[in-house]
Amino acid sequence: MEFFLLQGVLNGVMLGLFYALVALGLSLIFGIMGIVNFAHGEMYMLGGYVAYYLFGIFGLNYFASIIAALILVGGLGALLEKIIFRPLTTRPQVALTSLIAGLGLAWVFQMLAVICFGELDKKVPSAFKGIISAAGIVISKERLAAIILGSFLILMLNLFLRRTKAGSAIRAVAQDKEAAALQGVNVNRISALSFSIGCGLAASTGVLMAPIFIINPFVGSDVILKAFLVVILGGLGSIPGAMLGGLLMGFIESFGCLFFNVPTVNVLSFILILITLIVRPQGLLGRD
Amino acid sequence: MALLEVRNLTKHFGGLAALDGLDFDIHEGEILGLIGPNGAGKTTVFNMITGPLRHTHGEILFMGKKITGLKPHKIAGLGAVRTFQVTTLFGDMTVIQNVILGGHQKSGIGFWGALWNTHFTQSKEISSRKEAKKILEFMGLKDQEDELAKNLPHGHQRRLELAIALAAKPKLLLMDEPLTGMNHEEVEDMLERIDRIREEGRTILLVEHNMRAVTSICDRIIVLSFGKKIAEGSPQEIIQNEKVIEAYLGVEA
Amino acid sequence: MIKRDIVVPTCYTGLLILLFAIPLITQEPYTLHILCLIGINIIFACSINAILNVGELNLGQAAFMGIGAYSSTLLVMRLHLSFWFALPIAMIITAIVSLPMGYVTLRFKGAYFLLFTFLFAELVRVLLSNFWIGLFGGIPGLTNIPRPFIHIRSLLQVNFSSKAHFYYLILILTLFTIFVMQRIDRSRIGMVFKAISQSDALAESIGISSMKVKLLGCAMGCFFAGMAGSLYAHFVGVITPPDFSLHAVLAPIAYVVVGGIGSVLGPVIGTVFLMMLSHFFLRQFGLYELLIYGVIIVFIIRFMPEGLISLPRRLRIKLGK
Repeated sequence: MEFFLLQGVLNGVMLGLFYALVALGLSLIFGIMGIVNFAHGEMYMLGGYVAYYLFGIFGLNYFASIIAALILVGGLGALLEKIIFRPLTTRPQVALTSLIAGLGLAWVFQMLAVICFGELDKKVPSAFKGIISAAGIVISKERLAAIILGSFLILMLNLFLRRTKAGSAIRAVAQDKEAAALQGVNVNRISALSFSIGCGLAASTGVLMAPIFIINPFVGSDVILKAFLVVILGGLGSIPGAMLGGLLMGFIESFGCLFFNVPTVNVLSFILILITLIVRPQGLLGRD
Repeated sequence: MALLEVRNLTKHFGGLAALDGLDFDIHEGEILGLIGPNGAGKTTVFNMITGPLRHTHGEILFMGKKITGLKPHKIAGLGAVRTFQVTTLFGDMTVIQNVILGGHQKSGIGFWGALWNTHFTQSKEISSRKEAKKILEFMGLKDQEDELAKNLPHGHQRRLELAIALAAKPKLLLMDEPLTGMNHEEVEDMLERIDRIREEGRTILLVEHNMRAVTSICDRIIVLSFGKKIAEGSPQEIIQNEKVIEAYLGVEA
Repeated sequence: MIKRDIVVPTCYTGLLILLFAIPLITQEPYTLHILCLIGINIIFACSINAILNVGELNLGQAAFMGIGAYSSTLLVMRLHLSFWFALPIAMIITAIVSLPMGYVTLRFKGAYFLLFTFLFAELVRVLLSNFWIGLFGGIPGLTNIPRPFIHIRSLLQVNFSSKAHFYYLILILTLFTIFVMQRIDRSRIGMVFKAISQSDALAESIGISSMKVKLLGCAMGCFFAGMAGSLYAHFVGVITPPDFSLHAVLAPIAYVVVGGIGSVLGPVIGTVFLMMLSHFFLRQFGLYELLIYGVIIVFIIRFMPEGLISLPRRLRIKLGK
C-alpha cells in the first residue's frame, strides 16, 4: 500500500508540474492582455515536435532542445501577438474575437503539423534512460528529470518575474495597465513579451513531456482543456494560482486514478472545481 | 415619519469600521447634502442605502419599510434611485432609448405583451416615448434624442444620467458626485435643474465634494469623518462648525 | 426611400421562393443533407446569439442541444410519443433545465460565467458517456432514432424517408426561429437585453433585475438549442456524447463571431458562409480543407472583427471616400 501511495505522490508531482507549466502560460497571457489563447495547446504540441526533430532525429543536446523550443515557439508567439491578437484588443468584443481567432489558429497549426509531420503518433526517445529504485519507490529517470527540469523552469519564471526589470514591468501591467503605462512601461512590448513567454513555456513543457507522453498533431486540444480547468481553479490571471491549481489537479488525478476509473476521476475533478468556485468564485488565489 | 431613516448603521471591513453607528433622517422634499473628507464613509453609506453593499449592523427604512439587505433593483423599484459617480450610460443606445429604459420598470410592458406586440403594449410604447420626450425637454436634451449616448459631450452625458434616473419616477433621488468633471457653467446649470426636480416634489440626497455647490443648494448638510457623523445642520452652521473645519484641514474645499 | 421599400422586400421574397424551390432544382442527397445541417446549425447559432445578447457566452450551449436531442429521442423511443409532441416538449425541457444552471452561474460575471458553462458542458458530456448507460447508451450513444412521420388518414402521408421532406421541415423551423429572434430584437425585450449587456449596474439602479433578464435570455437561447438538438437527433438518426461537447460548440461560436455578434442575421450569414465554404468548396482540398478554413476564419476576425454583416457598411464607407 505504501508503495502505491508514494507512486501516487510522485506521479502527482509530475502531472501537477505539467499542468502547472501549461496553465502558467495561459494565465500569464490572460493577466496581461485579457485574452485567452485558444491555440496554447498547439504551442505545447509544437514543442513536442521540436523535441522529436532536434533531439530525436538530429541528435541535438536535450537541454539545448528545451532552449530551442523556448526561443522558436516564443518567437512565434511574439509574431502572433503582434499581427493577430494585439489589433483585436482595441476593438469591441475582445474576448470572443480572440477566442475564435485562437480557435482558427489552433486548426491551422494542427493541419500544418499533419501536413509537415504526418498524423501518426511519434515517440521521442528518452534522454535519461533507466530507472531509479530507492527507499522502496521506483521511478524512471525520465520522469524524475521532467520533475526536476519542470520545477527549474517554474523557478526561473518566478525569478524572472520578481528579480528582473522586465518581470516587474509584467507584474505591474498585470495589476493595473493604465498605471503601469503612466509610469513609462511600454505596454505593447510587455504584451509581446508575455505572449512569447507563455508560448515558449508551453513549448518547453512539450519538450519535457515528449519522451513520456506521445506526440501527434492533436495533443494540443486535450492539453488546452486541462489548462483551462487549472486556470479556472487557480484563478484567472494568477501565476501562483496556476501553480497551485496545477499541482492540485495533478494530485487529484493521480490519486483518484489509484482508486477510481478515469471517467469517475474526471467527474470528481469537475465537481471539486465547481464546489471551489461556488465557495470562492475568483478561484483559489484569484483576485476579485 | 421621515422618507429615509438610517438607524445605527455600521459597516466593518475586516477589522476596520468604515461606518460606526450612523444615525440620520432624510425628510420629504428636502435636499440633503452628505459631505466629508475622502475615506469618511460617504460612498459606503451610499452603497448601503442603494443596495450593493451589505450592512454589518443597523437598519435603513425607506417610507417605513426596511430596505437593508434588499437587492439594488428592488430598492430602485420602491422609489430610491441613484446616479453614479462615473458616467454610466447605455452607451451604444440612443439618448431617447436610454430614457425610455429608465422608465421601463414602471411602464407596465411585460414579456408576452412585447413578444406578441399587443395593442396594450403598443399604446404603452407610445406613452413611454411621450414621457421620455418630456423628460428630455426638461433636461435640455430634446435636440439630441437620436444621438448615441456615448457620442454626447461630457456635460450632456451627465444630464442624460439624471434624465434616466428621473424616468424611473424616484421618490428619493440619490446623487453620487454628479458635478465631477464639470466646469462652472455646467455646475450652475445642473444645480438649477436639481432645484427644479425638488420643486416637482422629489427628495434628494447629494453626495458631493464641491463645497460651493453643496452650501448653495442644500437645505441641510450632514458631515462624516472616519465613519461617524460629526455635524448636522444648515449650510451656514456647517461652514462655521469647528469640527468640520478641523476634519477638512489641509483639504481644499 | 421608395426604392428601398420595393427592392428589399422583393429580394427577400425572391430568396424565399428560391429556398422553397431548391428540392425541385436538385435532388442530390448530399446537397440536401448539408442544407439541412446548415438549417439546424443556424437555429443553434441563433440560440448562442440569444444569450450573447444579454452579454454572456454559454460554452455549455452544445450540452443543452444535447439535452434537447436526448430528451426528444427518449420521448419518442421510450415513451412512444410522436415526434410532433416530442419536439416542443424537448424544447421546454431544455429551457427549464437551463434555469437552475443559469440561476447558479449567472451571478458570476463575464469570464467566470464562461468558465462555469465550460465546466457544465464537460460535466454533461462525462455524465452522458459514463452513467445511466441503459438510458443514454454511453459513449456509443443512441442509434436508430425514428424519423418523424405525418399520417392524416389517407390525405397526407409523409414518412420523411427523403431528404427533401426534412429540408422543408427544417427550412420552416429555421425561418420561424429567425422570425422570432427578429421579433424579440425589435421589441422592448431586445432593448432591455441590449441594455443589460451594456451596463447591468445601470439597469439595476432603475429597477430592472439583471438576474431575471439574463435568465430569460438564457432560457430563450436554450429553448431554441433544444429545437436544434431534437431536429438533429431525428435527422441524423444517431447521437453520441461527443456530438454535444465543448468542441461541438466551438464551430457554431465561430459562425456567430464571423457573421457578426449582436445582430439577428449575423449568425445566419456566418453559418451559411462558413458551412457552405467548408462542405461545398473546400471539400476538394482534402487535407488542406481545415487549414484553409482556419486561415479564412483568422483572416476575417483579424480584419473584420465586427463580422461579415459589417461588410456592406465598410464597402459603403470605402466607396464613399
